[in-house]
Amino acid sequence: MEDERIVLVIVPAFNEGKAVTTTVERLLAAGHRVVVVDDGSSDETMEVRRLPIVYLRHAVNLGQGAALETGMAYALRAGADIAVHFDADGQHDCAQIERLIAPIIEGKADVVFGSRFLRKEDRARVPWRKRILLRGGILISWAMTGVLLSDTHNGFRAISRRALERVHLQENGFAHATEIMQRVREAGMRYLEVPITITYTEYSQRKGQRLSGSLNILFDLIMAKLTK
Amino acid sequence: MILAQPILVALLALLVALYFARLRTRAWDILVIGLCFGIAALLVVRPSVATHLAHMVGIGRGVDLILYLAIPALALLILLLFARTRELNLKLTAAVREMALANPHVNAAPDHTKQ
Repeated sequence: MEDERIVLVIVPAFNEGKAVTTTVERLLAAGHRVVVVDDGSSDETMEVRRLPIVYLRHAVNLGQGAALETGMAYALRAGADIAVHFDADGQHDCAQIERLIAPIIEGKADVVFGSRFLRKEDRARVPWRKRILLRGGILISWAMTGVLLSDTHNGFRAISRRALERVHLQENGFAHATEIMQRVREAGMRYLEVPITITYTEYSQRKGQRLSGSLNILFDLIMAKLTK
Repeated sequence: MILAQPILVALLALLVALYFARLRTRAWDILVIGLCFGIAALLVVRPSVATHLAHMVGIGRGVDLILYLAIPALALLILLLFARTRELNLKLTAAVREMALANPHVNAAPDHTKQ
């Protein structure tokens, strides 16, 4: 399905310890090309460098949005046709990358968002507390961007080269997930959602968003609007 | 005139001078800051003006009116400072990003170039 197109999988990582190495090993075993953006980690995240990947390091911690933008800038310069956002904590399944990039290869979309709310079986896997938090995020993102997605804060996305050239993130933190919707709409990119399955591990749950994090996202979005 | 009045006016003048020396000198700023300084100096020298204005809007004391007006003014100031911090943050991010992109660690050189 990938034909001769260059697909780079961008893995942002901040203090992910051994988890990022395990995630990248799985991606490499599945034959993917990987770019890890270490967002100024102070733990053993750097160990991932021994693997056959491209490793970029931020001198200071900036946030997940900044790490993804760095990865996308690298992908653009390296001549990638498609960039895939992939979480370092192991909750995404590399076997689903093909499904995610298929609409781009088929020319149906410029940006593809993964969604855990399109299929009943995927929805059932989301813990109820997280489900409430995510639903709130969907409504806020809709109100702020005019784009209604079923799963706004899902880090599993595919971006075509056309979109890489036009969509640039300025939100360094987790607010990038809402910002990317706005940028995609402003750039007139075609987008769609495909169902994906998230595997919640004890580790990914611990690293995941909490209510305080969601309030920070809301604050960042409001301040971005006010100071634009 | 009581002793506090010339001291307060001198402090206000010093603040304005510092503002223009250290921060902005655009025509629009000069107009706004000059107007703010004029109003503040007038309220210090003629406190009865503040009292009169307060009574017009149903507030008992002039000093209360100034306090109420100071709250949104401070909020605006915080917003301006936040905007400045955000601007700096964008510059820092761009610099850190360029450093990262200029020094990629490529292990076993995966082929990212087109065939």
